[in-house]
Amino acid sequence: MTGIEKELVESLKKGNQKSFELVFKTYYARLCTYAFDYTRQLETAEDLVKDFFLTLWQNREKIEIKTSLSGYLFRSVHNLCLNYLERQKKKNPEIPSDNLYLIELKQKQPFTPDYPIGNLLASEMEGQILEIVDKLPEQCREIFKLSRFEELPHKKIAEKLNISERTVKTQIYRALKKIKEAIPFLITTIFFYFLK
Amino acid sequence: MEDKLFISNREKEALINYLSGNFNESDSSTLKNWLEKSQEHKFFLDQLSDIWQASRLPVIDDKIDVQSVWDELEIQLHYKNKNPFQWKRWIQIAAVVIVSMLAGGTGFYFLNLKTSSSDVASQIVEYVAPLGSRSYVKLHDGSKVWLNSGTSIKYANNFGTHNRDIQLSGEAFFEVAKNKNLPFIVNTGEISVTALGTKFNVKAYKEEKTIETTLLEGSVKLESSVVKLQENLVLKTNEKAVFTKKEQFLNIVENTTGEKEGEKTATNKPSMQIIQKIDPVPIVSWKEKRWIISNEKLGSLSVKLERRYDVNVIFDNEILKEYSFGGTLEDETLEQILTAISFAAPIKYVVDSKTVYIMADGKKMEKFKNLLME
Repeated sequence: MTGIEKELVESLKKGNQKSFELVFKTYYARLCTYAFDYTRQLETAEDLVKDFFLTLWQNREKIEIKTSLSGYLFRSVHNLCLNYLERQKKKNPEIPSDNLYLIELKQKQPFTPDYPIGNLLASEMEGQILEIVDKLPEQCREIFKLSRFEELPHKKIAEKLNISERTVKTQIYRALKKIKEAIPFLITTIFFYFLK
Repeated sequence: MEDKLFISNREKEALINYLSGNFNESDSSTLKNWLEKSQEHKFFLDQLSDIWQASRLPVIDDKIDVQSVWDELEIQLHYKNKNPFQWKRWIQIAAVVIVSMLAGGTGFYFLNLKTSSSDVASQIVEYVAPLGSRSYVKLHDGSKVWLNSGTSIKYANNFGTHNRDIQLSGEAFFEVAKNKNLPFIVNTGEISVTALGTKFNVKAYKEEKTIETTLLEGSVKLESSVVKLQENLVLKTNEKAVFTKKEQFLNIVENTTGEKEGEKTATNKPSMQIIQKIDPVPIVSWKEKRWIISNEKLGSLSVKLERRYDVNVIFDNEILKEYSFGGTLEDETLEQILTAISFAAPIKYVVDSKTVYIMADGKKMEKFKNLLME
């Protein structure tokens, strides 16, 4: 942990609500974004993250952070997401089998045991991602934006652009691969926002 | 790296279906097989998932109102804490009471400047709130006075019967009890403020260039011993009068749109006037546990910190004084405040007994550059 992070965590453990607020406001949306990947519903993701922060505050004295604050937060939310998936499986025996396949695979992620959970979300890279997206070839860029920023399903994108669904997927794959090549992975930048 | 990666079109499709959540049995077995082939594949999918998630952030950010979620959560923090922390809270309350009693005690000095039985008026009472503490006094006439750090008020012991004259050095907030026969007069040397029944704040530290009078309720009359002011210069609610000692002019700062510009000051050049909205709450918040700092430059904030905590603040670079800081601080220690500031400005600090050194933090500097430009 950096010096600032250490101080922040220490004062949080001592019950400084300002520090807690700072952590909350810095990470809330990012953790929700991460959780959304598991819940597929923003409301559920938000509830899950809110509950997490409440528990964090109540158990603040027991917080033990070995690596980084962001690592700790994302790992905790990740575990809660896995619990959520497990509950989903048990609660709905009627769950569509397609969803079940997805859940089963999701439970295995990260597939590489030492891949840092929430790596990019925790390192303020979204600005760089946007820059790279803007430099993509036209069709590739347009499809990626429709898929990620407009949240259109593949089918809708295909209809809109009068192309096949397969092309949509190929282009999204291309975009992801380009971004991957352009992004320096595994950096952990610590970031803070201002309290207003 | 890329050379090691073998992925067919079908596998690519399964991968994209996995990310987007439209995943069927065939996709599942395709992707599982592919993942089993190499550790490299697993790492690749972890990376793509990472990008996939991160690129969703702008969309989610738009949909979330972090402030309102926080407001809601903040209430729950206290609610849920009630039981386990009740005992602690009582200790805290007790501690606050003891501290404020101590502060009151140390802040009180009864100065018997000259005890002469024939001259009753020569007895002067002085209340002092030393640097690092604040104090509260209720006067004989029922008026209440809050003293900021490094402030003293003096009055003769016929105060309340023959007059209501007070000598102020420093900053105080007055809640004046009504008495039409005896005007309540706060004297700062250069400026005197006369009130009947009203609430106002006077900031008149000797080392500062200005004397500021802020009115919260009622009305006060301003007079000056060193410069001729307009006859009957009366301040109204939510107005602030700034008297600049050096140049000796009086400025009225008010919360209206500024129609009155130039009318109220007799000795001032109109061009020197500053008209702005006055929210009196931050101005008088020093007397509360909750201290509101509204976008204040570090330079002037450090002067307040010096008084409040009885320390010396030294900047190693003058430019740091230009950073602004805003926030509400509740009963914080100096360290906690400095930590909060260091989150919001590119500074590092070192506290060495009674001296605070504030230094530039090069790493954070770059990030805050834009902020300074505004």
